[in-house]
Amino acid sequence: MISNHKNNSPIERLVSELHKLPGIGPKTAQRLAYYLVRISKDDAIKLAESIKAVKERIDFCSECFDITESNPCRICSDNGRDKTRICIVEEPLDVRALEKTRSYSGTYHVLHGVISPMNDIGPDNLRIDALFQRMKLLEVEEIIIATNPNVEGEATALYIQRLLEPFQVKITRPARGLPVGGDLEYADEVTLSMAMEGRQPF
Amino acid sequence: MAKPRIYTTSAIVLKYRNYSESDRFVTLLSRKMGRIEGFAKGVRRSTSKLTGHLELFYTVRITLAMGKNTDVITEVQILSAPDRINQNLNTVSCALNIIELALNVSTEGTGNELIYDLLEKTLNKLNTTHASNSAKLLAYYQLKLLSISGLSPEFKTCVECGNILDEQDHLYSAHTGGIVCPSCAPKQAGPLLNLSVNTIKVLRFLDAEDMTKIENFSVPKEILTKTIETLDTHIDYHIDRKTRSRSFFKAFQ
Repeated sequence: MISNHKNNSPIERLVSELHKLPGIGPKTAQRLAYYLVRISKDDAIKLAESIKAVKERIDFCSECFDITESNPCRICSDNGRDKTRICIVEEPLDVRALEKTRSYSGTYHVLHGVISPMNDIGPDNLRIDALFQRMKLLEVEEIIIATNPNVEGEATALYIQRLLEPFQVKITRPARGLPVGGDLEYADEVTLSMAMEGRQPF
Repeated sequence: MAKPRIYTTSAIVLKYRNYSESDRFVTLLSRKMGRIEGFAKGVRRSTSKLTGHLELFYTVRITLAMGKNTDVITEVQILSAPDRINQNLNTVSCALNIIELALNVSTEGTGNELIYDLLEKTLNKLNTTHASNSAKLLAYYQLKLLSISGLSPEFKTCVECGNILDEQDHLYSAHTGGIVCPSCAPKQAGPLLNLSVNTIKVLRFLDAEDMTKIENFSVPKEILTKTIETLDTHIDYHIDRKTRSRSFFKAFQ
């Protein structure tokens, strides 16, 4: 096994580093390493430098905990954004997904995970305390809890809702219904019944 | 019996773990084949036909095709979706504890219809009952599960001397698997838990009665907490697997 025995040759080191990445097995790591040997020096250095830049320049925003190059992040420092609304999401990628819609102009709060009792992840492992600090400083009108609509996401939402009770703030959750491009016959009963309940005038 | 290449079974979703970009490994408890693991390809995409069908606590009719390492889930129909469980922290923390226990006692390949039926019945009850009944249901489920697994604690006679217990406070010993009377207590090697006469009565009641009686059975909170604590100790000693969701359950009762 390549990854098991210590070898200090540069190619072996590269293989073992690539092997640490998610979804990369020893064979794929080897293939990628030999590909990197073949590409031009410029391309390889560009890759190495971008990895270095990510680690050196990217940080968590001190307000919303989204990943950012500048602190506070672009969204938090934008005066055009509605600071009275905070949308709580599980991961930074959820911010990217919501930003793509261009239909939300408030700010975010990234939890960096979700309560998952079976995996030993409790509320203390999430950035929930920081949210309260923010709530105390800002005049917040609405909290949108946009955790994933599964058991863990719902449990997290309920937990946050319970903690937010003293603030007497409007708490909302995104609507649930049919996905665009999906088939009605393949929708599950729960989603379908929620879609029917939340139907809108046409 | 060898597994057919494509098979259909009813099963309850116990656990899932995300894999790759949009896939998931789902662990289920089936009626006939015990614990099974299936690969749900693309399930995290909102337009996948499997999306929303494989949530925790759901009872589903599932078709799997034999794969090289893991079987692949090809079709799912929901039989019952106890989605009200997710609307309350008491019930959801209780339900997570329940499915984790089922996960810990079940085995791959050998089905136990009693465990399956008990789990299905308890989850459905949890879905329809008031949230304040959830801790009682958990205690009931723990007792019945122990009984099915042949690990029932002894509440009627002293496990040491065999005498029928008097109506008074006693002690519980996980090591010997039941209640010991105060006169036998000094002989016990392991740690002992104090059990009030009322806690013993609650344990006996829940053990003997049917689920239909649970809702109208009123128990003071501290006695119920003690009952669950005793059962947790028993489960930890005899099933010997950490129940991770327990602290979450305790935080919301």
